[in-house]
Amino acid sequence: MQITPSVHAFFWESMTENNCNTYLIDGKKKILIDPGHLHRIDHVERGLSSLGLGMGDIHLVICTHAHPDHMEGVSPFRKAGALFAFHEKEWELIQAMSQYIEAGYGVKADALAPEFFLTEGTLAVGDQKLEVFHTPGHSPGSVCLYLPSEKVLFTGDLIFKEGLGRTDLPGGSGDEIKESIRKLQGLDVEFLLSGHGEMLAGKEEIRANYDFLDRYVFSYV
Amino acid sequence: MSEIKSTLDLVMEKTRHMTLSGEEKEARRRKEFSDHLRGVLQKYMDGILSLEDAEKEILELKNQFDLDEKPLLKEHIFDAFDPEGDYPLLLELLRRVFAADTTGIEQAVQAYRKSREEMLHGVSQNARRTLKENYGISGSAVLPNPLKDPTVNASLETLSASFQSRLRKEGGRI
Repeated sequence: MQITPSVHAFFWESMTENNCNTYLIDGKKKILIDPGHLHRIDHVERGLSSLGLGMGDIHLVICTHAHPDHMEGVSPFRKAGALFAFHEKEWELIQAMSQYIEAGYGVKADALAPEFFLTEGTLAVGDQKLEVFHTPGHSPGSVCLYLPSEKVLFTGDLIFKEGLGRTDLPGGSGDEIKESIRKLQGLDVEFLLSGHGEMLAGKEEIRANYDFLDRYVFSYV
Repeated sequence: MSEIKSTLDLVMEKTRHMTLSGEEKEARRRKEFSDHLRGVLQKYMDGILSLEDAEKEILELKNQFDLDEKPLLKEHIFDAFDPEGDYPLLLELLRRVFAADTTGIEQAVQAYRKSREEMLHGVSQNARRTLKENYGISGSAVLPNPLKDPTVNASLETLSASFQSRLRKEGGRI
């Protein structure tokens, strides 16, 4: 689904199987955000194919955080030549859990090392300019990406429609997730695209969602 | 039905006639002493024991096993020495137990860290240039991963080996 001239969404809509939403930022250099589970990469391939694109057309894959339902599918894109990036704090988490990753996935942590890390600041990729916000809480290195030219905010698992990311996984923090959400409230956003579920469209819907979280959810986190 | 024996029963039965030679007993005693010393060192490094308590426990072990703790303790300290980790604790222990002058070791650590930082900085700068020129990626949010450079691991190993060599040399003076 095309959201803005440069942004396309491959929403994951299954109610019975978990995976994440994947997003494409088109331009001279194509950026894929959160490829999802490896065994469901066909979902992303179909989405790209509908735009006349293949895995080899992706220049950069960014993961908002390193949970497997967002990051597992990076490997085929890397094999096809894409670079890969996530926040340096997420890399620290991976290294701390390397024995479990190897035991559970048969993958050495070093194989997951990105070409570069993200930190808070500006990221220019080809003709696109993004702002990277470090938004811990769901995981220590979670990031949100803001595309100011089209007023799109990619939030990963920080914020959902009428919800926010769980904080009980390793490195999660209720206080941090609330602080991270408050940090983003001042941004000029027309489309809020989260890691799971529906998008939020329009300033009013986005503002109402923040109010909802503040009023009905924050006190329980 | 035959008698069901526990694992312990079976082990006791099979080892009933086994004996250790004097040398084997001594080696086992030294190993136990070494393992206990390493345990005390680990508890000290983990913050469970203060410097004073660690010193006290080391002395207790020395008396209990009637062995000279210094050579083994020094070996364990240098094995655990990580120039990027909590080495100041180990330096304190060296100063306390061995009355050592650790200036030489501290200089070796500083030299290692400076070399490492300079090397990684150079690699990062090159990586940043490559990302911009070859991939069109730049910005303040970009932090190159120096470990993706294929030459870095070899350089780090060389640096580490050089440091270990200097560390042992300094250790020989203690």
